[in-house]
Amino acid sequence: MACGWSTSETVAYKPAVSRPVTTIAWYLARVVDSPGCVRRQLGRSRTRQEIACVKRIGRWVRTVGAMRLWVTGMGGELGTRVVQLLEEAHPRAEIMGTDIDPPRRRLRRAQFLRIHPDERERLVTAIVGFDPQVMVHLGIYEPGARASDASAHRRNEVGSAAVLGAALECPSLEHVVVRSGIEVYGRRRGSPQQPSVDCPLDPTCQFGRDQLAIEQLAEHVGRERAISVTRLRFAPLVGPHFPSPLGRVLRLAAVPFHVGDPAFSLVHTEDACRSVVGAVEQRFDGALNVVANGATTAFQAARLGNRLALPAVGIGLRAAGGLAGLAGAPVPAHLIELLRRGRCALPSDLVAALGITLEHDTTDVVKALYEWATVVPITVGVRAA
Amino acid sequence: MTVTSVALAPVKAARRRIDGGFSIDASGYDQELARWACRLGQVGWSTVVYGAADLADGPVIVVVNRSVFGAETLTCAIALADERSEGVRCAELVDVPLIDSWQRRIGFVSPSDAEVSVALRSGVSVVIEMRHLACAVNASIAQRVPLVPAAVMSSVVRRRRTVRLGAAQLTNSSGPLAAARLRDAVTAELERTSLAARATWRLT
Repeated sequence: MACGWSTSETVAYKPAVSRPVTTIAWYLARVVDSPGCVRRQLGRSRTRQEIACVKRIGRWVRTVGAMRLWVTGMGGELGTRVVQLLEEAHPRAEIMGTDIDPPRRRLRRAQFLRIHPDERERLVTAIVGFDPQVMVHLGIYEPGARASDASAHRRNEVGSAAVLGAALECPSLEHVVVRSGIEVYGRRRGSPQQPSVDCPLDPTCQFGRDQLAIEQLAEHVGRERAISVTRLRFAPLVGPHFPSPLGRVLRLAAVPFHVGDPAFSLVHTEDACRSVVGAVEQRFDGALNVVANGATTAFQAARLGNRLALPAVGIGLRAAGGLAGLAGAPVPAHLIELLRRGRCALPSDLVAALGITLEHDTTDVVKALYEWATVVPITVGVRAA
Repeated sequence: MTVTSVALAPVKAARRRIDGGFSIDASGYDQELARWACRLGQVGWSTVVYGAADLADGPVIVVVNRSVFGAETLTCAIALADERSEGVRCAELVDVPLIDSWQRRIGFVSPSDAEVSVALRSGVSVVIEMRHLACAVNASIAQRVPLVPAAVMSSVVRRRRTVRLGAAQLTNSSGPLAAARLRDAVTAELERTSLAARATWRLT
């Protein structure tokens, strides 16, 4: 498959004279060929305005250019919305992706392959055959969301190994975006209430350990291929249509909460999608905490939704979790941890890193969770005889 | 403010608690609950602060000379909360699941570099005990915030307590030598302040 950006003529060209237009044209050519090369060249003997201009042109070229994007987890709420936003923002981009289930919304141009994470060889063949320039790995399975604890762990382990292993074999790959979560910081005694991205990672639940393993795998790919990797550590994702165990528990008629009632932060699914698109465009290298401002507690969230809040402690909370599971809202280990110890993180500067601001704070996310559209009964017209 | 509104304030606050209409920040701090706890603390103790007028605006780290089960640190934090326009946090958190979240609600933070730095960055002052001086010094150097020694004088049988604030200490350099020098300067200033506070306490 032909690469959309590289041309052999442009690489050989160098400016003979240092006139601004010629210089910009040369840098533009290098941007088209390899953005990383320009980053190394910048700042040597160029003026500040020249550098800024070249960066702008480079961004424009990358934005409108025909790049190939691979999205895993395309069938989920998050993946489908991300692909929709990418289709809008990059009209010439070629997008392909996989998931267990088909996309939940209409996609105009993106191609979808229904591949189970267990089908490693099929997945690897598809990715290597497509040879993406940017890979977005959103195929992370939260226990209790769409899979059981054991199933989610196995899918995370096998699926991510296949996807990121295939990334090593893609010659055109330039950037990887990985979904992770603030569960990677852990909630051990003595751990900070609001960990920043520099804090040591010490997950205390299986979901956190899975996400840390995926982050480490992605970092390995970045080191091996000398490419940038964005690790987006999301606060618990909650939305009215998003399959989240926390969302389901908070929507029960009676919500169990720990007597300590610790605070936790959330992030809106739309903000999460915009941050993924920002990571694709800005190609930030490193980890970022994507956390909405403010915090809430299980009691407050339940009362905002006019639910009955049931206090529980110790084994009582686990028993309440078991009962909630019978009512259709399973409470996995990482959710028990959230209810017992809380879960917050220090938000990263997303304006500087990704060029976006989060539009919803945690209270907005909770309110949106309870905002269901009113059911309007449709009267079926009686066909005229 | 009418008499009715004053009388109904606790009722409205209780209703906000039940309806979930209160606000809480990511550090677990609940401003309204903290204000009520502060008023309760003022009923228990009557604290006089000397030297609060000399404090610079903006966040500071107040290092208290001693604290029995965190009582003196809490007294100092409550007294300073009245004097300072910005918020005050007390770095005496007990890291036990049932207790810590309620302590965080009323303004406690863990005496660790990370948490004290986050609190200072959000623009609030922190009161910390002398035994956590290393943490206070690290946060002071990292955030360029002055350290203020404070001598608290109290008695088991008396409701009255006094807090005497010393001269603020700040270093512009960084590194292990700067930390050691700052630690020495704070210790020396705290001894001097404690002597002055003891003299005043005997007179009263």
